[in-house]
Amino acid sequence: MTTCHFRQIRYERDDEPVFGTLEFSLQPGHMLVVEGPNGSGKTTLLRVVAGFLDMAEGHVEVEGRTLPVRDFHETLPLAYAGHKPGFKDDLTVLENLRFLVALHEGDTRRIGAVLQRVGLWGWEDNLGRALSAGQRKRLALAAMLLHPAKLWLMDEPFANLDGQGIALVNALMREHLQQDGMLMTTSHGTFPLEHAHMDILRLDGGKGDRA
Amino acid sequence: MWKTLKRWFHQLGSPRTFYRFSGALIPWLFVAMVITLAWGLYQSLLVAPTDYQQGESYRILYVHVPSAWMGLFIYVLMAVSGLIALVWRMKVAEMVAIACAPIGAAYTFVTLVTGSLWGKPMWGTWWEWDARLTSELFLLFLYLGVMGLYAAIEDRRKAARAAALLALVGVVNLPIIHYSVVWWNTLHQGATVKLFSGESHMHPSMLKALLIMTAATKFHFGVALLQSVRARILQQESKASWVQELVDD
Amino acid sequence: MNLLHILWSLIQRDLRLAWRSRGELLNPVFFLILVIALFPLGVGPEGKLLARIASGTVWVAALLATMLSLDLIFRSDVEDGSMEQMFVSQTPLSWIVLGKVITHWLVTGLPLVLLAPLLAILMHLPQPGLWALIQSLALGTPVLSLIGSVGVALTVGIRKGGMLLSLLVLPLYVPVLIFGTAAVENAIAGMSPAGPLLILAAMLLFALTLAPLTAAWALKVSLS
Repeated sequence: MTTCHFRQIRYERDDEPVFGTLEFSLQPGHMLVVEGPNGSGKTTLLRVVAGFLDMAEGHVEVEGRTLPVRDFHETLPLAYAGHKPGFKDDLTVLENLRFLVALHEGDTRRIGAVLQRVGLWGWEDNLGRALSAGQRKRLALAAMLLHPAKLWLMDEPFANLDGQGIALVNALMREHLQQDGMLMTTSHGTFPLEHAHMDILRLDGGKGDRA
Repeated sequence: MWKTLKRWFHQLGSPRTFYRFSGALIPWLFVAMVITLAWGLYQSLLVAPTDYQQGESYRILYVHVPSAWMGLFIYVLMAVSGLIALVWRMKVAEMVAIACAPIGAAYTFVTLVTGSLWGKPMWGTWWEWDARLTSELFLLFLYLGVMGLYAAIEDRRKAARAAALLALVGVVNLPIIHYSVVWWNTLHQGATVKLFSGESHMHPSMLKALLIMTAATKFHFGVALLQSVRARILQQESKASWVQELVDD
Repeated sequence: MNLLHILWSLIQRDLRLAWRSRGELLNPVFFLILVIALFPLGVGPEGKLLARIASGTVWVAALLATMLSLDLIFRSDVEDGSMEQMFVSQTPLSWIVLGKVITHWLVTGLPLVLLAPLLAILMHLPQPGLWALIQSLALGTPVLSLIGSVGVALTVGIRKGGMLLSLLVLPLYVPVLIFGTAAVENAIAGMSPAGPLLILAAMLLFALTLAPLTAAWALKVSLS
C-alpha cells in the first residue's frame, strides 16, 4: 500500500459547500487528524473518504492511478467507526462479531483474542442492548480489529471512554500505525496521543486549509 | 461532427449556458405554440367534418389524443434526462427531469378528464375500466410518485437524483404495466369502443387537425419545460456570481 | 464461494433478529387475515359472491400486507449503522440487498403462501383454484419483495415515508396482481393456469436480476 493523495475534494449540501476544496494525503504509518470547530465538516469529510456520500467530488491518486473519490473505498479494505454503533442491539456480542467477521472476510479464530484485548471477555453472550456506552464503543473497536482493513476511519474515537478505554484506543492506534496501517480521525481540541507520524488537517467552517 | 456535438452537449450542461440558450429559444417556441394552437383549434373545431357515428362529441379527441401522447413522451424524456443526471451527474439534467414531472402529470390528467368526458356519451358512464384509460391512470400515479419523492427529500440535488432513479424504474415497468392491463382488459372483455376505427376511415382533414394539435402540445411543453428549468436554475444557483449580476441589473 | 458464505451469514443473522422480535413477525399475517375477514362484512356473506371475488381479494390483501412490511428490509440497519458497515465492506451492495430480500420473503411472503388454504376457505374459493392460488402466491410474492426493496431503498432516508412508499410501489405491483389472479381464475374456469404462472415466473427472473442492482443504487443515492 502506498500513499493516497486526495485532490480537489469538495462536498455540497443544499448547494452550500460544507468545506472548501481540500487537498490531503493518507500515508502508511501516519495518522491524519482532522481538526476544526463543530459544524466544520469533520464527520462529513470522513464519510466522503468512506464512500458514503454519492455526490462527493474530487479525485484520489493511488499507485499511479486516478479515480473519483466516491470509488476510493472499493480499492482497499477500510474500517469505519462512526457515531452509530454498527451492530445490532438484539444480537449478542459474539453473534454480532461473527456476522461482521463474515461480512468483512476476517478471521473467526481471532474473536476470542480480540475480545480479551478490548476487555469484553466474559461479555460475549450479552445482548448488544445490555452493554454500557463505553462497552458499546469497545465492541465497535473489536469489530475494527477483526477487519483486514488497511485504513481506519475513526470519528470521535475517545467519546464515552474512561481513562483505561482512552489508553486502549491509543495503544490500538499505535499498533495499527506500526504495521504500516493508515488512520484518519477527528477530534475536538487537543489530541491525547503523542506520535511522530501525525499530520493535521484543519477545517475552518467552510474555508478549509491545506494539510 | 461528433466532437462538436459533444462539446455543445457539455456547454449546455452548464446552468449558465442553458439559461441563456433557453432564454433565447422561448420566444420562438411561444410564437410557434400560439400559431399552431390557433390553427389547430380552427382545423379541429371548424374544418374537420362531423363524425357520422359519434357526432360532434368526437372532437374532444383533438385534445385527448395529443395529451395522451405527451403524457408518455414526457415520461420517457424524464427518464432519459434522469439517466443522464445519474450517470454523468449533470445538474441541468436533474432539473430537466424534475421539471418534466408536473407537466407530464398535467397532460396525463387532461387525458383522463377528456377521456371520461368523451366516455359519458359513448359508454353512458363517466368511467369505464377501458385498457387505455386504466393504464393512463397508473401513468398518473407513476408521475405522482416521482413528484412525491422529490418533495419528500430535503436536499434538492439528492431529491432530484432519487426521483430520477424512480423515473428510470418507472420507464422500465411502464410497458409491463401497459401490456398486462391490455391483456387483463381483453380477458374481461371490457369496453372496446375505439376512438379511431382505423386510420383508413379517417378523413384527411381530421388527421391534419390532429397533427397540428400534436405540434401545438409539443411547443407548449417546450415553453413550459424551459421556463420551469430556468426558474429552478435561478433558485439553485442564486449564490453564483452570474445570477447575482442578473438580479442587480 | 465466499460470497455465498456472506449471503448465508446475512440471512442467518436477519432470521435470528426476526425471531428475537417475533411479536412483530406475525403482524403481517394477522393483518392479512383481518383484511380478508373484512370483505364478507362489507359485501355480505353470500358464498357465491365471495367465491367470485376470492382470488382478487386474497391477492390485494397480499399486496397490502407485503407493502406494510417492506420497512423491515432496511430501516433498522440504517438506523443503527449496520448499513454503513455493509457499505464499507468489499461485498457488493446488491448482493447484500439480495440477502435482505430473501429474508424478507421468508419472513413475510412464505407465511402468506402457507396461509393460502385458510384464506381460500374463508373466501369460499372454489376447490380447483386453490393449487393455482398457492402456486401464484409462491411465484408472485418474491416479486413483490424485490420490487418493494427498490421503493423502500428510495424512501429509507425519509422519516415519514410510509404513505409515499405505497404511492411508489403499488403501481409497480399491478402486473403481479393481474397475472396472479388470472392464474386462479383460469384454474376455476377449468383452464390451465400455466400461462399466467409462466409470466409470473418470467417476472420473478426479471426482478431477481434487476431489482437488487437498482435497490443498491437507490440506497447509495438516498443515504448520501
